[in-house]
Amino acid sequence: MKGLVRTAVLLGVSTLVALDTYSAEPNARDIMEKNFFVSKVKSLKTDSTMVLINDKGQQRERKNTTLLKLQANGIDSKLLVKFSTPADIKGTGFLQVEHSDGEDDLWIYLPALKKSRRLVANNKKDSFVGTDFSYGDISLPKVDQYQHKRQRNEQIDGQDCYVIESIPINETVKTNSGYSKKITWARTDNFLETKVEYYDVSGRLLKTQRITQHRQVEPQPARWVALHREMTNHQTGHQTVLNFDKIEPGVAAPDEVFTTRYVERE
Amino acid sequence: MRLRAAISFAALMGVSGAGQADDSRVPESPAFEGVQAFLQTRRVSGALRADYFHAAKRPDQGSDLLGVTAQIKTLPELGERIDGKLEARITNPALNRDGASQSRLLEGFVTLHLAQADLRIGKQIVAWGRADGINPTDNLTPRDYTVLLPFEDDQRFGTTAIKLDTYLSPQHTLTVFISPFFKPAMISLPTAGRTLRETTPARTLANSELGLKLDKIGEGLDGSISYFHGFSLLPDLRLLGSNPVEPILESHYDRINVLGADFARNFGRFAVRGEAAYVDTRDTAGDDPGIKNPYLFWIIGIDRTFFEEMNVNVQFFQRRVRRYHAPEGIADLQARAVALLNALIDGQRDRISNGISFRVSNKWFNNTLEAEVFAVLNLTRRDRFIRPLLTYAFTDHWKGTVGAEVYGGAADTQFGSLKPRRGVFAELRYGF
Repeated sequence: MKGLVRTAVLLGVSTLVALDTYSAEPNARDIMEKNFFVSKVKSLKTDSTMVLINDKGQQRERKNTTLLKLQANGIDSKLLVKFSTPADIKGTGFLQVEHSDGEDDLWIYLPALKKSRRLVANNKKDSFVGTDFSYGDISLPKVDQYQHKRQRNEQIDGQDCYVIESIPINETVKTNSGYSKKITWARTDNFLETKVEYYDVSGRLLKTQRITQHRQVEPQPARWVALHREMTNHQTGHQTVLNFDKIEPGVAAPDEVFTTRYVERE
Repeated sequence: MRLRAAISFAALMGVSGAGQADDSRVPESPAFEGVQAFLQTRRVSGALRADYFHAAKRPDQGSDLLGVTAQIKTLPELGERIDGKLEARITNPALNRDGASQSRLLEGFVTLHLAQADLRIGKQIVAWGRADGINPTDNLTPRDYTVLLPFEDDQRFGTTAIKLDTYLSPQHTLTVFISPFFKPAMISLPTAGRTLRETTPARTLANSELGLKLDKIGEGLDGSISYFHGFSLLPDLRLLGSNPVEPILESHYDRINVLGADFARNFGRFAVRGEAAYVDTRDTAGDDPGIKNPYLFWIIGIDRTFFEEMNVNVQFFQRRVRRYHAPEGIADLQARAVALLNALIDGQRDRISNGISFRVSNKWFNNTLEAEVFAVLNLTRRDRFIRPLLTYAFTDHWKGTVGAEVYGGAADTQFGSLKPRRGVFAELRYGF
């Protein structure tokens, strides 16, 4: 009888501990918010290579240098991208100034035009210079533009991940992003994504992004950068591999750098 | 002859067979890669281009022209705060017509980067205006409208000038442009049955050009106001008299003062761009048919991207000519013909002329295939211009382009008068 009571008590305690543990786990929105912020580095300079691979295996390559700076509100970033190869896009520049309380400012500089041109910020689904990444994939959308639901936990590359399903909150977000659903595998230890599936507006699987080689670049709060990303478009068979060849965290670029003055420098 | 040119072009396209096989996946020879790396570290790039044009842009060139062009650009870094640019083009636009080679320095300047300013000295292209393709405020540096290359921007070349950009804040820039060396646009004037003499402004300090612009970017709205005191890039013709055989015309360039403004703003998925310029000329009374009249030229348009890559841009433009006098009102036949030519060159055929432009472009296969149709319709006289363009990138280095220029309308209209230029063109380009 005494043993039975002890077993019952142990079971009860275990259940309470388990319940407590579950309730201590973050909810889907919290996870995606942490996922949003974990890559919000204060400042970063990178040299990267994007390899575009078509369904026949033929490759094209784009190299660029990127400067990134977090704005004072800790949410919005400024981004400057300059392409150095191939010849036909050499000198092309891209400048983005995020505004969490409104539309982002976006400009593209094409050397042939000799002037910067304002882009429509809502065109998040447009391809970023012909790659499989869209503008919306390059710059993460605001967390509350999607409704998030925890599905399960799963291991990817030996790492425990939360699996989160994200649905656009309205038709506008769906149309602008080109996605009806995203499923994100975010690491339980640092919240950085390791895999993302993107579903087109009709609900078919469109793209899968695999993210590896995570590196912590800022200690407190912890900020991470993934050095390798692969985006595969399942509907075209095309793939883009993005490799950061060199990263320099903490490069203090003044605000003046994130202006059309610098984007227009060839 | 057309067949021969086509065969010759096909032979050149055969060269691209290697280009099509060429791919980043195919290993280049170490020497080739070495050259590429050397050029890249020296900030040197360029292109070799083979072009076919069915129609010439100058009456003396004939038709079915096969040309070759070499273009090279270098961006030397001359110090921590000084860099520069040299870009030159050598072209023979009519290899199969014993055409002469032409060379041109497109740009050659040094730039000194100061904390709050950039000072650029030398031959430079300065492009003003936020509208798409039609820019009333773009009066500083010329274009060569006779060049036999397929892209709009191939027409641009620089003027020797000093340009100072002062950054008043990250959002505001004040630009001062001074050029003591006026360089006019190159256009083909109908010389058949006429003697033409060109006079350009003397290179004196008094004939310097001045441009001022205050530009604002960011926070949802880009815009500028500008002023230009210089010379019209396009000529006016004046009847000087007649020799026993034919009339004698003088092509000249007059002072203009331009007040301009432009803006670009997004409304949801639409981008709205507008631009306006009031151009004051020396013919304030409007009674000299040899000088263009003062006019207001404005344009406004919207563009939107549909699906993933299809961009549609529609613009409405209007020219309002002050103190307009119709060329038809001139009694003297020769003087009337010259006035009509001036009206066609300056877009002053009517007191008020309205028009629309339309550009639709799309990209497929991760930007390897690009198509674009650009069209302009003058609503007042129904003359029109359409330019379809198709470009395919075989690899990162090799690109092929085919297109056409189609002009329509009555012979006494701006685009109708250019009907002899109608034709197809093609280009094969190797970029490095």
